[in-house]
Amino acid sequence: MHQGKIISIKSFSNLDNSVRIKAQKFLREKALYDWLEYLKRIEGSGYGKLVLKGFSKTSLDIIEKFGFLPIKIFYSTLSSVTIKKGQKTSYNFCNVCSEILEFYNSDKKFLTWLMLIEKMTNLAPEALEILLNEMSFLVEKMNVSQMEDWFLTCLRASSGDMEKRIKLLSLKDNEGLEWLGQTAGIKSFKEQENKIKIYTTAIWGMNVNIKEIPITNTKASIRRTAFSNNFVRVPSSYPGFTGQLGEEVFRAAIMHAAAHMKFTYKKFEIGKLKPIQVAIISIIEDARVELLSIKEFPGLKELWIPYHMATGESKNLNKAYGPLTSRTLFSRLSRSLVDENYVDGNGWITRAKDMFFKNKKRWNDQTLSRELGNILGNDIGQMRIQFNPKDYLPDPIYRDENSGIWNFDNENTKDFEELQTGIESYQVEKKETDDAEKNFENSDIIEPLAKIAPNKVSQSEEAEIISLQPEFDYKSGRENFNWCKIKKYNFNNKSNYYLNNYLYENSKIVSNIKNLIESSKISQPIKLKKQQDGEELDLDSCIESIVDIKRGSTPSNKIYKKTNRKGRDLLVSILVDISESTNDFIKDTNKKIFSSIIEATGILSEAINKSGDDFGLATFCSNKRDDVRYWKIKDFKDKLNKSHINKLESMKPGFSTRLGAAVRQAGDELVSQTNYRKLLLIISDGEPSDIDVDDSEYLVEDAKYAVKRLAYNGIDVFCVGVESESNKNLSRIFGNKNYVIIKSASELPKKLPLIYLTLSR
Amino acid sequence: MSDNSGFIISNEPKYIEVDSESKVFEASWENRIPLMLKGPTGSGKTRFIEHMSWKLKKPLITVSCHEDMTASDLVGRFLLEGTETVWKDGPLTRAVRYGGICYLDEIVEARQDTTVVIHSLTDDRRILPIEKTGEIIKAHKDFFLVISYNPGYQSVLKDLKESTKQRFASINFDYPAKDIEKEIIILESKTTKEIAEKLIKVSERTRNLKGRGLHEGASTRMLIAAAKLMKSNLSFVEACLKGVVHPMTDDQDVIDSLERSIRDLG
Repeated sequence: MHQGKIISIKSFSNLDNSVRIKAQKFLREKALYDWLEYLKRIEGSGYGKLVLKGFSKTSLDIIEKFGFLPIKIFYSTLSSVTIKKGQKTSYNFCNVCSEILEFYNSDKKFLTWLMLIEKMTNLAPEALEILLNEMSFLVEKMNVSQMEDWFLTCLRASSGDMEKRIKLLSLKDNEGLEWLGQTAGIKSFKEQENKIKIYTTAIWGMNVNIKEIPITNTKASIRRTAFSNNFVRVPSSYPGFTGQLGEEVFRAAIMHAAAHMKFTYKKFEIGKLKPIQVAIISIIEDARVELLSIKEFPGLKELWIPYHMATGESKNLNKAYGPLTSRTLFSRLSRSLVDENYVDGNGWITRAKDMFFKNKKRWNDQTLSRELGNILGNDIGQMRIQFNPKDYLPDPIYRDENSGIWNFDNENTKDFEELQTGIESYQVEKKETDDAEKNFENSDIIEPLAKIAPNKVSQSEEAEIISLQPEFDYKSGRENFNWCKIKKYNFNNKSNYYLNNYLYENSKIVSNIKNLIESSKISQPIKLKKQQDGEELDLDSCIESIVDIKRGSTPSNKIYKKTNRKGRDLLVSILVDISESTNDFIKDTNKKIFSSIIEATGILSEAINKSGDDFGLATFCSNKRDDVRYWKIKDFKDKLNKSHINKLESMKPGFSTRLGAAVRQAGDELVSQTNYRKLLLIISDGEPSDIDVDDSEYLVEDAKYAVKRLAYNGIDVFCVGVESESNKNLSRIFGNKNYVIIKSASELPKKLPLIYLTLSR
Repeated sequence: MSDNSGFIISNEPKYIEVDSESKVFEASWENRIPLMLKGPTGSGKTRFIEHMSWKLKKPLITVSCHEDMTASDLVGRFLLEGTETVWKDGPLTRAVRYGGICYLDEIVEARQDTTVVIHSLTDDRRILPIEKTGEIIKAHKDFFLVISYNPGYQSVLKDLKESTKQRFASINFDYPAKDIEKEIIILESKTTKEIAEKLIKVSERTRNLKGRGLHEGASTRMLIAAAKLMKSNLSFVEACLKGVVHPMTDDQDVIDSLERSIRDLG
């Protein structure tokens, strides 16, 4: 029995009754005494009533789970929090503490968590509230050391910038989230994207465009994949899945979507169906396409089955899953339909399974899903199962949220707004991606105004000056210093995947060109025979010479051979003119010159990239001398990727062609590179002009001057004149041998790479 | 040797007809119209010519062409034997002189100044002038020229001249239709029908990736190799990986994806 001053629980009159009772229940003698000591200390230090309240409750929770040991550290952390942030935050801390207790099974782990909180309080007190608010999210995803890593990384990344720090820590920043994902070891889609695309192409022979949705988006449906035509939207991670399941979940998701693309050949009409019927028909359709896929690729069964929530482990399923809700019922239905071995006692499910498997011969026909769905939907009405479309998400988790197989475009869709949780945002994207199927020129991107006011372009108007370039005045014979402003404009980031699809479709051409480029790279040694001098004797020639001697003829003295190594160290910069003149239609077609140019540049870029050469890519146009617009799409050393293609695709034609300025800018970028051979390849109609210049010769002469300057600096310049009226200006600017005219832009995609090939040899 | 009887094939090289190629061959042979066999690697060109030679009971002289090949390699050269200089006929000249089928395999690999020697043989003249000896040989009546050519690697640098191409009739070889390919696999490797069918599915996956990760789809030859590996106790997946996937690509993503899709075949 402890001696000394007796403190009684009664002296703490503000304690909740429940706390009082609990304390008296759990704490005996010394423990109770110690606990009361703590309360006294809190009172004595003036922390405030809330702190006392929080402590008293939470400490008991801790003691209940782990015993008294952690209380010391708990108290210390509590004090730090109170001192730094006040009693309200402190109270919040206590509540959070109680909540996260369930995540920790060992007191050691809990202690490390407490110590991390203390660290966070000391290092980033301003963010503490935010951290506490999201604590259960964090604790669910990662262990303490991972949390610490993430926390410290955010601190380091924001070094001193409080605003950025808060942003990162509050999970409102994509970058921060990515680290979070990486730290938490959540398998992210990005790591697997390339592999999954190749895999899907290998299996089905189709190209699937995949778009990733970041994990901040907490709308329920966005936690599922969705698809439309051959576009698939996936969540960037599936939290909660680790290990093998975590690794495979994306493959499962994309393959399921691909199965729909392959086997759901027509969208279902909503007609007069109720949401619950739609849900059931979708489940049947999901099963149907999966089974058809499994028939061709049996391994897919192993891929998909593990994700079903209905594991079939309990004999009494009704008991195992608790009260019959639509969620559990549908999970069990999903499993029954794809797994013949799964047995479910529920009558409705058994009926569904029987009907489905009896109609095996009709699995090729998607109307089967609708038929069976109708019947089952009627039955379920009588079961009085609660179905809330708002909450509904298909099980298993890798399956899509069904919008891709239904035609929602009619009045009935009002009822389905709830089923379409998140569909609104998806619809917006869907419209953009649907546009990709229309002819590029007819898309919404080029505003109707463009036809009236040709210089109006809908690109973003924010611009940053990246350099000042001189301009040559042929009349005075002088270069005017800092005459032109080269401005960098933002890219419009929306992509229609048009160019990506075009390149996919033409991948054979790309491949051929890449082979040509590679084979012309001849870095293997070439043997030159019959040489007058060389390192070795050419035996054939020697023998011929001896023969000639014996026959009395004059022998040749070219009896040596040598090996010639042709190296290749070439850097090319591609500069594309996107002025208003490219907005015209190609003669006798309804395709714009601009489209052909973009497609050709895309093909060339892919081919060069695949062949391993470095290259740069930029586009330009101009709106008077202080607004020469230059978009640097790709830097020399970058490997070509989807974002470059998207940037290229996002270009829109407009404005004028101040060629000299752009040539100088591209030249500056090239001149600092160390390659042996440097080439500036320009794609333009070769008619420099701008609205602030009246003299038609002025900009031509300036361009000529600029090209000469580049040559002086060891840079070859070549122009591909697309649909040029005459070659007069081209030959003036570039010289007779350094240009070629492509009469019709529609030939450009085929010819441009061959031009590159010839130039690069 | 003053004839080419040493080059006659005695055992039948098995060949399964895909699309009346032998009919075309025999028609060309009867008229001695030079023949070009076009197709990707591993599609049966060499096997076909061996089979037809055996069938017609004519000698077959094969030359594998390469970049370093000179006209003398085809036509012949003087060799020094002791103190004598002796003319030795090259394979082409042998065929021209004594009769037989001369098969120039992968002719595109040879330089164009080499291939030009065949021009005089491939028109009505059917003569081979040998400048070193001053001879002009008139082709034996049984002389027949066949070349092979893989158009997949068409190159402006390495291609047959138009003037050369137009001297030939052509038979296209491509990967055979599924059932025929299956037969071929079974015949060559003595494997089962089920395995052959599965291998066809594997090749379909690779052909889906042509140009999108792989240069070419898997050739029939690779499938046969995989089947043979399986007979020697390699598992299906391993035989496909070692016999088909790994030789075709070094890209780890492509290898992993193909491995996955092969495993999915069950």
